[in-house]
Amino acid sequence: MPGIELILQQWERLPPVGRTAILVMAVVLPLAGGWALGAIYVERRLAAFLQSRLGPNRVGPHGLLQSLADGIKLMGKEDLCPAQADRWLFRLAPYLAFVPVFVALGAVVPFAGGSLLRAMHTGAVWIPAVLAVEVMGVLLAGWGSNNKWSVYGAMREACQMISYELPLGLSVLVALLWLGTVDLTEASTRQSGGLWNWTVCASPWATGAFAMYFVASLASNKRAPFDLPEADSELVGGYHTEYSGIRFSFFYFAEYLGMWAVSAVMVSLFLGGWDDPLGLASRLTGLTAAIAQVGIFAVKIILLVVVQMWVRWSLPRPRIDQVLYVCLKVMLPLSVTLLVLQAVWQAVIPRHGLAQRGVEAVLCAVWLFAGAIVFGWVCWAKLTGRRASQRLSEAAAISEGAGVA
Amino acid sequence: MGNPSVLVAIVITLIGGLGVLLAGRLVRAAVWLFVALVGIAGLLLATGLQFLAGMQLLIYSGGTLVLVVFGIMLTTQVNPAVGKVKRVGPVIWAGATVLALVVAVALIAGTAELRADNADVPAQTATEVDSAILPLGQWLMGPGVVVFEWTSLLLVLAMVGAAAMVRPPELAMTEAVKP
Repeated sequence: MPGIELILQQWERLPPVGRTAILVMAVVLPLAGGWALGAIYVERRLAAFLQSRLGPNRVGPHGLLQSLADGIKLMGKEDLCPAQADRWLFRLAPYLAFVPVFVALGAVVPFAGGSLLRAMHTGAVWIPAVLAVEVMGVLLAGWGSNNKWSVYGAMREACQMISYELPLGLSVLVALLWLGTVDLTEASTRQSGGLWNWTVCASPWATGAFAMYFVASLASNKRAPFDLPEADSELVGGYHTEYSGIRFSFFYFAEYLGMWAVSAVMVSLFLGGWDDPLGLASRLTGLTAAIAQVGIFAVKIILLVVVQMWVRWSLPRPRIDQVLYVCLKVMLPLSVTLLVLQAVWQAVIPRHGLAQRGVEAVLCAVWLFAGAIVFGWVCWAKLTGRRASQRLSEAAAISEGAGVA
Repeated sequence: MGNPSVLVAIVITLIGGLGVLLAGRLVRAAVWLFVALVGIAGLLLATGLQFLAGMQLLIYSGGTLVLVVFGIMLTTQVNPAVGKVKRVGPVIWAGATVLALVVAVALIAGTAELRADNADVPAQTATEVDSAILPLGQWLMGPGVVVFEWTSLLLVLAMVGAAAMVRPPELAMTEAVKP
């Protein structure tokens, strides 16, 4: 077809900056926005399910358009700025919170054999780095608002983020030690070939580091039980108390995109990247392989994000001193110990020897057993449990009965 | 100059530096410092040093600068108007301009010499990046270990100093307690 060839010719002629700009606007921004809207909907439905409510179910089929309607509402709201606030910082802060996450997501995360925009070969370093920049946005939001709750929220954010960066970085180091590369694409490739090749099954210390990374990633995204910077029972809204409309939604977008970014690092470093548990996808070639890889990668990330949401709606919020205590007195020593043990492990046990293979097999069996238990439990709950609507109508019948009596 | 992104990074860094000097409020100066640090990360990135660029962002923008802002928040009042600083005089202005020009010329000359043989950033492979990190780590744990330890000692001193500055003077405390 001549039309498409002409377009491709013009595309080749564009400078790299122009091509990147077009890709960002045409592909990455809509994908990121769609992800955030979808994740917000899933989170609200999941919260409703866990709390025996119905959740959003009026706008569109099954309430699917609720997030979109909320977005339109937020764009229509008045863009307020407090009277005595530092207007310049107040307006700058949402962008500083949003852009770094977007950079991590669009530029560095590999979705299949190649990354989306730019081949950054230091993804394992780069993503924590740009996510650390996000703290700056939250700090400035808190400071620029001229509100005591906001400043307290920002201070908590700074303490928490800087503290939890240490266990986060150290647990990433355990995986890097095993894989021997800081490139996320290369890291995924080195784990291909089935569940027993993934870093979580490499040694008990790698499994521990995986758990440590998961907890620290919750903290770095300000997700419950680490949502102290915006604790609504203590600080009204924390650093975003004074924000309204579209500026407020930037912070929300940053949070949901951040969940995707940290999960992508977790999948690439610990969970085998785009490899399925049986190692079947690595045998495919061509377009089918690319589609399968992107699908497997996305499914893994979505599962991890659902677990993050599950944790949020199950656990109560601790106090800020408890959060910092757990980081500095429990997680930091533990992650240093894990790093040392992993280094000793690799020095003592031969990489392709029988002992290593045996440990991989045992850990693989443990993971499969745990997965089977969770799956069986979910199936059992689904089969025997009643729907939320049933429970609501039962509760209504009981209260009506009480009124008559 | 074969590589325009190097020039852009230099300009961003210098604008950030001038912003620090001219900012009227401490927190705004910190924001300009952030701009300068991002510019330096961009400079490293544009010359193909991806790992150092990541470390620059992680340590300086994400760690040290957040600590600086944290320090400002702890030592000043909540009202952002309080953190005002004195504007600089004409002598410092002239000195800073000369310094900025010298740094700019040195940077441009230096990177031009670096990149004289190939104008574009070399397309590195993952293995090349990994093997470039290896000597860095070996240097830090080998010949560079003393320098490394001295640097961390400096950071500890800075932390202790910050804690000492924030602590209220004991004399004032005891006087305040007196009936």
